[in-house]
Amino acid sequence: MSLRRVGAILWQEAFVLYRSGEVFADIFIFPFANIIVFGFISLYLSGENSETGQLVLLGMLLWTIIWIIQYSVTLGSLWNIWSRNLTNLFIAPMRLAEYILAHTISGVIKATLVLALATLLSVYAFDFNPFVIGWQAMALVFFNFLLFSYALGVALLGLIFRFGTRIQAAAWATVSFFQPLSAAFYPLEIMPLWLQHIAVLFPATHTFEAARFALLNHGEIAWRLFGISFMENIFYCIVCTFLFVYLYNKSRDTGQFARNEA
Amino acid sequence: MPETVLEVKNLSKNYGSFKAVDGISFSVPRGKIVGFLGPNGAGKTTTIQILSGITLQNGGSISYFGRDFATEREACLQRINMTSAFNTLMGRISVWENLFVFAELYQVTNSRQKIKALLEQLEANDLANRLYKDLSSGQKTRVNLVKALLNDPELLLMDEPTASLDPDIADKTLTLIEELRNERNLSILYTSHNMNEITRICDEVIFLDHGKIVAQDTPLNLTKRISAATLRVVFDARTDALDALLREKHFEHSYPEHATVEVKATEQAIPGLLFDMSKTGIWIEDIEIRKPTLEDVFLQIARKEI
Repeated sequence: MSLRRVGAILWQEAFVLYRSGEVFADIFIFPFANIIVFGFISLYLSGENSETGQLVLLGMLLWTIIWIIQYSVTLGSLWNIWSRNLTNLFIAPMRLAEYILAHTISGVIKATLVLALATLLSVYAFDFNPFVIGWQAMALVFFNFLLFSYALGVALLGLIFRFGTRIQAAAWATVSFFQPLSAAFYPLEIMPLWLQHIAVLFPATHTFEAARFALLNHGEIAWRLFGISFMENIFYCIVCTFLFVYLYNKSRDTGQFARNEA
Repeated sequence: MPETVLEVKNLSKNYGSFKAVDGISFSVPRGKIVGFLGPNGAGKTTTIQILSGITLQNGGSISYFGRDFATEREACLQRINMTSAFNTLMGRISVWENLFVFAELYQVTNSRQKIKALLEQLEANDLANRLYKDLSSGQKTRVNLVKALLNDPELLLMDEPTASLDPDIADKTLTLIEELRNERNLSILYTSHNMNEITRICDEVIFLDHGKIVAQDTPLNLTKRISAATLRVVFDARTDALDALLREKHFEHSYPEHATVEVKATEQAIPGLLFDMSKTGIWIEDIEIRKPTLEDVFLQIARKEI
């Protein structure tokens, strides 16, 4: 593992972020617009029940972590495919693990930055600080979402390598599929029972439940929920990493990897 | 005996039942330029993709500098590089930023100075701060070459580097490649459809057809495989005597125009033939002898005539 090669990909990410309005909009404008919308919804709901509004805004703030890390892992490669530069990267003496690690680190940096700025916005505009759940709970939420986003990101990246840009819309759309299923904005118990059985299969569901528990119980940690989330995350990370490596090799075997830039 | 930088043995690649590369073996000696030629679908690009590691082979072995590519991929890739007309750098970031990323990927010592020196050498230092997407095709080719030289490669894989360039820029690019080879004793595996390019810069040519090597030699020796040159004679008026002479001597000939004949003949037979033709009573107005080129070899191999 070469930190310098990991750094090279991080430099590329930084240059693209600095130069590309689309990436800037995806990472900063859209999440902030969502937070403002959900902030006003929370103010509106606060008239009924102050906790309900806070739970909804907390869900939106935390969802941003998943969105940005998954976006970073998947979209970083798509930018290279669109530029027909991916081949250049992969004929350099770079390991696959270095490439994925770099994009994951990039996602963590962006998510941390956006969460910090979004917290400031939330505190000053909507009088809500998501860190009321406690630093420890926030760290556990962030770590679990990092694992979940990584798993989702590499699985999607593997599919894009294998099937090409014709499925690139999945890079944006798939995460939205998990949003209603992982009970980001509402308690798991309000979902129909059959849907709850599906929702509990996803680690993000337990993490959101744990975050809501911490908010309603003055920062108390729901270790059981975080534990289930962590175990599921480990399972998904292992499965998705193997899937990614399989799809990457399959893509090189079928010639699709080279054709992705044709 | 020059050192071998690339050795390929029995390389094969199948896509289902289609054999894209069918058991080819060849080597690239240090300091030599080996040209890869063949019609579309011959397997050139697939071979280059396998050699660069972005496509997996089904069989055979590749070794760079005596090291097995399958087991020592990282060490091999550190010592080679590739430039292709079909790959570009990241368009939205500047030339310098692109080059810096690759300098870091190849762990180049003093990367900033290295980039500066190469940009100067390839007369591209004025492009450093421009966005890559805003460059012309010729400028992109030069920048791609800078990227390919960042790690001081001992072997360069070049996949149609002059495709999409106008003739003047292509000529300058070829001159640059020749200079680089001489300065650095660089070995190059070079694919192109342009026969003049291949004839000009390659020490050895490999012809591929349907995934197989069908010929492999120096450009000069390959052209010698076609013994017949084409003699084109323009005269005052067509005569039966000339026709009879060509038939009698069994020369393959045709009349592209009324008073013009084209005759296939060995170079040695041409003086005698011209002498005999002059005795048939025709008045010769123009003579043109076209020696076989690599393109003729290419066409005849593609048509399976040789």
